Amino acid sequence: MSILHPFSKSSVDKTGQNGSRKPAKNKANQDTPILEALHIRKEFPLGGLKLFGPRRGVKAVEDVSLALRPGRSLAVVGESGSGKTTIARLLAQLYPVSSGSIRFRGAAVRGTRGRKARAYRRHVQLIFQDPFSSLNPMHTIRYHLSRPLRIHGHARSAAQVERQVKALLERVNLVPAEQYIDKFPHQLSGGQRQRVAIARALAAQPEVLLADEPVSMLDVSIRLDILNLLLRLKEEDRLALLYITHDIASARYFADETLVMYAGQVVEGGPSEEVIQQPKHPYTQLLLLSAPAPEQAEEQHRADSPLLATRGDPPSLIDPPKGCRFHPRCPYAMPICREQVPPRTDLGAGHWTHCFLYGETTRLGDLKPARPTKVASEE
Amino acid sequence: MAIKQRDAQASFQGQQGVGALRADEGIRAELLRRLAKRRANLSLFRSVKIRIGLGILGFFVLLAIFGPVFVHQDPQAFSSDVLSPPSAAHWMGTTQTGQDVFAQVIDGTRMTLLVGFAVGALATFLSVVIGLTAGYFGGVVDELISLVINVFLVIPALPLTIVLAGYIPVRGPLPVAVVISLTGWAWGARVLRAQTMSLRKREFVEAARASGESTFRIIFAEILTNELAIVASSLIFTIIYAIFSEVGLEFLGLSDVTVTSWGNMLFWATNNQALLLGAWWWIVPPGLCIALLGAGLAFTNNGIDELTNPRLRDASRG
Amino acid sequence: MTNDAVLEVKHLSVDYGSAAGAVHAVDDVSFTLRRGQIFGLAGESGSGKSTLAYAIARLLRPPAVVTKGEVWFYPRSDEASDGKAASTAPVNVLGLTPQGLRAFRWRRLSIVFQSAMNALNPVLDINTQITDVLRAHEPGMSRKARQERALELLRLVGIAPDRLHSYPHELSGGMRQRAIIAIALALNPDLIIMDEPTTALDVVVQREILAEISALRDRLGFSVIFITHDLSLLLEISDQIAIMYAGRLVETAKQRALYHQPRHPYTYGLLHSFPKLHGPRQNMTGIPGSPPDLRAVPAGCAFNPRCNYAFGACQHVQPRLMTLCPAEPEQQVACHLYDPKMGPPDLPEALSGQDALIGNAAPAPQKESAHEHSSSLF
Repeated sequence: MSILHPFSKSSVDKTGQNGSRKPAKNKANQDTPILEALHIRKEFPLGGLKLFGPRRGVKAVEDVSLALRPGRSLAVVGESGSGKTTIARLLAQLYPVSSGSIRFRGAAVRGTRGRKARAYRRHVQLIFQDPFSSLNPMHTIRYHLSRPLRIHGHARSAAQVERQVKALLERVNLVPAEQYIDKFPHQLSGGQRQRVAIARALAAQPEVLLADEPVSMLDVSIRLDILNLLLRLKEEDRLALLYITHDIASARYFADETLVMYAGQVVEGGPSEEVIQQPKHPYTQLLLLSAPAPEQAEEQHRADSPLLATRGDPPSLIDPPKGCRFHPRCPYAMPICREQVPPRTDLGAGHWTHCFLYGETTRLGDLKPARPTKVASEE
Repeated sequence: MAIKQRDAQASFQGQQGVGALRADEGIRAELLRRLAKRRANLSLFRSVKIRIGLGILGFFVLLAIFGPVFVHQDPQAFSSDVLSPPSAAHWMGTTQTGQDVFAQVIDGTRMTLLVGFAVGALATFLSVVIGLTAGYFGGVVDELISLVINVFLVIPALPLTIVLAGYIPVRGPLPVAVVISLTGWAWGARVLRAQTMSLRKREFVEAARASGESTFRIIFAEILTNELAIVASSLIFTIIYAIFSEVGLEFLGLSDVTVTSWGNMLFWATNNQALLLGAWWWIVPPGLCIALLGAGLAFTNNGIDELTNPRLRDASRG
Repeated sequence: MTNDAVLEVKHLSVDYGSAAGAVHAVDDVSFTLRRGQIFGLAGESGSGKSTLAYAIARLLRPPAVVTKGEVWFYPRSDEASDGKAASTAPVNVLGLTPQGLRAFRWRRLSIVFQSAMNALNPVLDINTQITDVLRAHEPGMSRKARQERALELLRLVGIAPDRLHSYPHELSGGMRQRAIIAIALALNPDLIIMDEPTTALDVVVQREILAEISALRDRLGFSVIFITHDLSLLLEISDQIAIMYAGRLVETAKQRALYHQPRHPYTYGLLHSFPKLHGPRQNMTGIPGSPPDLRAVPAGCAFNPRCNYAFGACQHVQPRLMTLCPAEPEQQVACHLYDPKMGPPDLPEALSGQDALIGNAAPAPQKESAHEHSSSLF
């Protein structure tokens, strides 16, 4: 497992890091986040001329903060429309945030174009969901892998490029490399293409890898292989991994920490095991009750939860509900939920949530919300 | 056998979508399957079409390059055989002034092809640069460029060409070429703009940005490479348009009529009432050549997809 | 749920293309569907599950062609909705004439497609689309009767009646899928084929739709062929599950039996490809390699290059589906490990009935696969 590889951290240290703003004073501290999002918001403007009234937009992400640390993986779990994909793209700076800031190694990141962007992309790379469309059908694998090497200056001569391309293919288990190097994407299977996408991301020698649903479109039997590959790379290179998914079971398998999102807001977060076994926010509980879990199918109590009786759909993001965006569907909603966005409540052991059911006080005074009897986790 | 395998592959991949599980992949896969199936079904014919098309083009190109070597008569030379039908001495007869039609046809090939291809290339180059820029950047840039494209589209090309050609003091192939290029690029630009707008949303473009590619390379190395089929097709159409426009202008006498070319031959022929006099041999050869060249180009167009799409390249080999 | 059969598929084979270059999308598949049963068909890409469903529904188009086999349909003995008693003679589906097919389709068998957005006409409202189906198949129905039936159907699937005149784009994904189910139920069919009906939906909505399907089945008594790549869904909703691989049926079993004792190594591997929400966290691997390209299916057992337990016979002889125990004729597996004539080694612990998934037996080897099996493509 500990093959000394041209792309493993130790050799990167030797060749030195170019492009970072601040000189690396000491080895990356485990707990210091390498990439942080602080209270980011993103609103996509809707087209059309609006002369009167407020401008309409899709409020895709609302006040999200997260931190990625070297050698650790963070999962962001949510359904479609939760804003999780937008988060990945914001962190990759494919478009700018509407407000809030993103910090890489403590320094604010600005600019989505030009040299600054390129320097940033040397450190933070994104893997896309669809292996069929994230590779250009007109270019060979060699081209796909050699471009980042050249852009970020990791290889100059043709011989160097060739050698490193082969090394990258070997790293993602596409061996023998010669067999893949001249192929076009349509000649590879879905799993192979996704490996190429991962290799392309690694070619930049990043410190942070953002994976946007990397296995959702792959066959079930090969998903674990890809996830295990990412975990291995995380260990070898001490990468900070962001794993976006709608499958909470794979978040449990893959990530140390999990964040749950709903309609653009973060509702709960903490160590994966903690969040999944002791979910506090009603949405997290609903998600866990809904996820297929054949190992539990025999137990009937799942059917009793009032959460499952609620019908409803995620709200429109153009005109989202005021306050907590889950309140229209929440069986435990209180008047305050319709008025204010719940602040963060720490639940201990790094587990936190945004829910008035757990808040101690509210702005309306010393009103302590009564705890419904069934809110506690199912086991 | 090979075709059936292609059928199976194309259809099957469409039907099952190797590895694809996404919901909307269904319709895309379905369309690809139908497209592939249609191509597969036509492939037998299409390879004949390409062969015909390229054959014709090749013939004319060779004619342009080597033709005059085999013609021993000066196409401009007058002779005493006025308006005589095809004979042993003059294979295609002579004109009103005794010039050898056959020599003129051969000689004129060069001129026609040169102007046609040059103009086609220039106009296509313009449409690529303008169309891709407008399509990729969007916003204000797109609005301005679209305005320009629309103006050029709306202006009726041939009348404008005639008017311009009529007013430019210098007569000859060069002004004709310039004028035709200026009126011929807009349609291609529009098509490429639309195609670019659709392609720029594709994930591999975003992935290239996320890799750190520069804008220039994204436009020309990532997006353009996926539009090669359209560009090539547009090139061929523009060449056809150029040739016919050029012939049209020459026919109206707006080019330098002393130069030998098919269009000019038609000009002189109509001016001298060739048909009325029954001199079909003056009109038919150049007309036929023009028509054949156009047909050859059109046939070639059909084969463009295979040449530029690596996916179909495999299929045709199998 | 009575025990009589509603659908019998016998040795069905579907090829794409013909003669030498043919791709065997479905290879000799046989199974029986009982009345009121939810029959799950699981498989990955290239498994042939969708092709099989389309073949049964007579929806295949050239170059897909059924090369072998029979499909027998046994209608219910109740009246058709126009009041006339329907024939209860077994129907040879593959032999139906175009008129017979018209009568058969939707009245006896209907389909729910994967993406409702693709199946619904975006320019017609839901009411029109439901009544259109009714008008096509029940010409005797009055306009009022059609309206009533449309409302009744929407109520059945849980769409509020005030959405009757909504257009598809005005409905959420879950509601669209319900609308599709309503249309499929319009003529009270005996059998509904559902091809990945919940793949495009959120997990929460998916659970609602599954519950809806189950409830409707309980109420109306139709059978379902539920096609999906997500085996964990089938483990919750279906009565009988069949696993397909490379166009062949490799195992069928009752839901609980499949989960507690998977017989085929592929089933075992598939069950182990889903990370668990509860229970101990452990390293998992999927199945090494990837599903084969149907143009180059491995000789013998299609699964053998990826199988941990393959032995001599597996590369040469294609295993046939066989019943393991006479008392359970519908538990079948196509694997040489269970065929004493092939001289198999001892049954591996994983497949011998120990409850591996609840953490008693040792799971499969834990390393990441050594290398991608490129041989399957080239």
